[in-house]
Amino acid sequence: MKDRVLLLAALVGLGLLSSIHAPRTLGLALAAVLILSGRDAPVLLKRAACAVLLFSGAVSIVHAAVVLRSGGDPLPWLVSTNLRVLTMTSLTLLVARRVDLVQAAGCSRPLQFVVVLALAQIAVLRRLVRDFALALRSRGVDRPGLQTAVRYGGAVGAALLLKADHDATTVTQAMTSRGFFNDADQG
Amino acid sequence: MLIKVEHLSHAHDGRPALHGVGFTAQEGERLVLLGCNGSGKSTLLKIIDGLIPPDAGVVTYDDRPVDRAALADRPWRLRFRREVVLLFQDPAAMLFHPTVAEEVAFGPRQLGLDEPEARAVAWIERAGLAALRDRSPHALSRGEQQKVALASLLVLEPRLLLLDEPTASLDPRSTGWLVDLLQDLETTTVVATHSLSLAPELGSRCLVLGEDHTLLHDGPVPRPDADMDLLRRANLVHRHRHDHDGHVHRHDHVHDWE
Ligand SMILES: Nc1ncnc2c1ncn2[C@@H]1O[C@H](COP(=O)(O)OP(=O)(O)OP(=O)(O)O)[C@@H](O)[C@H]1O
Ligand SMILES: [Mg+2]
Repeated sequence: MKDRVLLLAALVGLGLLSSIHAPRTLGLALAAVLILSGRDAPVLLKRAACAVLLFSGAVSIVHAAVVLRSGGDPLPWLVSTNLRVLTMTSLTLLVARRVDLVQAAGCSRPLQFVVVLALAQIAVLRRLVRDFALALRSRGVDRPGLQTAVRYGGAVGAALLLKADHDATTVTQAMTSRGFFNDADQG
Repeated sequence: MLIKVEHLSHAHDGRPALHGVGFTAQEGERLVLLGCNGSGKSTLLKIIDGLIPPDAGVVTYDDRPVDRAALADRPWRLRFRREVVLLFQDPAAMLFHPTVAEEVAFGPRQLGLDEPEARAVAWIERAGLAALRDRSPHALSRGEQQKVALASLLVLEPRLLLLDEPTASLDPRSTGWLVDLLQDLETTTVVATHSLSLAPELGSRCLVLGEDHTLLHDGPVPRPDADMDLLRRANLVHRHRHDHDGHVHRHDHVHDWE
């Protein structure tokens, strides 16, 4: 029950955040999320910043270039957008830490299956990423050069995509084989 | 006759995986499916389980072709899923419940057997998994996952058990446990493996798939002393280089034979 309420509150929060534009309000919201995270705040903020850097970094650069060229001031948009994404990401990470998603989805069996499957996929992919890192380490590359790093990043990305695709097929076959699409009491 | 496989051919995205494979199995028979990497063992098991429709050929289960029409027939499909089970090569693909207990109870509940929870408890005990009961299947080691996946199939008391490299992640003691378990069952089994030394313990009759995806052999389990030619053709031997007193010589070698 507690997990479901928390999840619902977070979803409402995310909805509100997506409609706020004032940097000051967004700053307050971020502070609120960080206060709620307590001791986890620094880790959470670091992870959120990394994620944001990856996804909205490129968008920000392109946007700034376009606005600058047309003689405008890109700063207000950049601040409010990046702050908003940062706050939303922190909130999502906080929820992922505090809410037991399996419990929160307990109201419906199919939903719970989907959540467990998604978490399982995340666990498997995370394991794969870690194995990749370990394999790289075991091959004695302490500080990979740029070329190695780029190649490695590409290989990890490609492997993840292939594995996610292959797993989705195999998992569906496994579920079919075990009668998932075969409820005895229906029909 | 429980299964009949005729002229089975299949390719994945144009790459051949099986070519003209055929054999039959009587109720209660224990078959070992031997073949090198990529010879088509997993593909064959998935086709028998009705998961992949073959490009050509027919699989018949208990006198009915396992085809689209049969699988669309709900009562038959329910019976088929209850009676025929497949242990996937990657057991993690089969696990999608929050706890081991729920994982094992899933099949009986889904396929309408009575008292699914009681059956699950009994099989968890029998498989020696009591300590893992409330653990999340995804946090287990691969060998443990393999045992949980197997328990969640055996709990259905199937008529045909298809196992894809069931011992791949098991330590010697767990391998012994599996061999004993299989020998106690009356179930018809088809076990894929590349372990020549384990093959005689897993079954009495052996199917060998070649690198060209055809069936090279259907008969007794090959022995390295008598059937070297077959094993060489199936790519199950390795050319080994030895250095004796300065003389280098090569001979064929079966690696996992003790
Ligand atoms: N999903 C797929 N997509 C494309 N090709 C596939 C797929 N699954 C198998 N293959 C190919 O089909 C052939 C047979 O594969 P299969 O997995 O049946 O072999 P296997 O005997 O089980 O091998 P292993 O011992 O490595 O498990 C291989 O060449 C493989 O590359
Ligand atoms: Mg295989």
